[in-house]
Amino acid sequence: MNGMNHYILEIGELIINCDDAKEEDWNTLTIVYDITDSHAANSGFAYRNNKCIPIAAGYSGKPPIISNKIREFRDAMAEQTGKKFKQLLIQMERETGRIKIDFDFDKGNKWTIVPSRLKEMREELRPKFD
Amino acid sequence: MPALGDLLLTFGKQNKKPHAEQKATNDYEQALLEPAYVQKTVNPPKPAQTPTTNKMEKAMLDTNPVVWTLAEDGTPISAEAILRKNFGSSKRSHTEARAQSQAGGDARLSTDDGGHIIGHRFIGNQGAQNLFPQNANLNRSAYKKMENEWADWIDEGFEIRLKVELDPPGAARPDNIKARYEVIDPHTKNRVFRREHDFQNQTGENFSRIQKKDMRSFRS
Repeated sequence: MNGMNHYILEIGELIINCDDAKEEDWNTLTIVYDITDSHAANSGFAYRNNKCIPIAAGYSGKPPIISNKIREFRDAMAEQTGKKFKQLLIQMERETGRIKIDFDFDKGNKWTIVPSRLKEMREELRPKFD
Repeated sequence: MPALGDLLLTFGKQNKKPHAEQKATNDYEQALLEPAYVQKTVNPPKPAQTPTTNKMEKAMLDTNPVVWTLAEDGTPISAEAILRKNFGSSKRSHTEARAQSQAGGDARLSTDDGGHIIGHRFIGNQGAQNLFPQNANLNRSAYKKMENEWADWIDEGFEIRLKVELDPPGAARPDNIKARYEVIDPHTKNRVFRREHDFQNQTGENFSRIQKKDMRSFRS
């Protein structure tokens, strides 16, 4: 994907500075973003050692800037690939400053937090950078 | 065809510092009832409402407190609430029905409803401070599903703490509705779920909700 890295870095900057990421003390975090042309929703977890706190990415008192940026990224990718992702997995590690993203172009539920498997999901979504 | 697998990048050092010192310490409920906070205005469609011109209005229905931030002219900007009870459907007062039919004034579209920021089932008749011109399809489908989810969380014994913001702030008809909420297990006071929805004020919005049968799995 040519010319996409700046989107990923901008999205990472927005998430690392969002309200919940600033309020919680975390080592790693995961956000699962569901996105369509007119609606966006996200949930995730902030991890610190054995603790896992539910979070969501957003800014109080500002327009939906993360959703807008992800939609820009999605449209730019679609121009190159012809496909729009439906779900975006964003994982970050504070100590190393690394961000990892992955896409679901299919049903858009690849990383949806399934209540019946909540504990397993928390661990499955825990970022692993090794 | 470019690869579509996962991507890994590294951030600058400026983002590595811990933020523990920024942890919120205010009690949420106290913050709701003591409106010390001011709303920033971003790209308002009409003359800017400076934070000092915003007004706060409070209401409490049984154990459900709500605080609205309003522009100087009374246009709602945001609402924060703690929802512990769902009162179900109840008849709207004549005053409420009239306020619903007039919400948005000249900015209201023919395809709009007078939508409640915080559902009537949670806070009852609150008039114009709790109403905005909302696309009817959004009001009756996706937004209603979100309210249904909140009601089910409450019915399952959880508490919802939420903030709904209309964007741009102070607009006669908002383009976006942001709803961020957390689900609290009142027995442990732990947050068990957190979600943000960003709706555009138009038809065709989707909503995928947590089903009631699954909610008990979230007990901390």
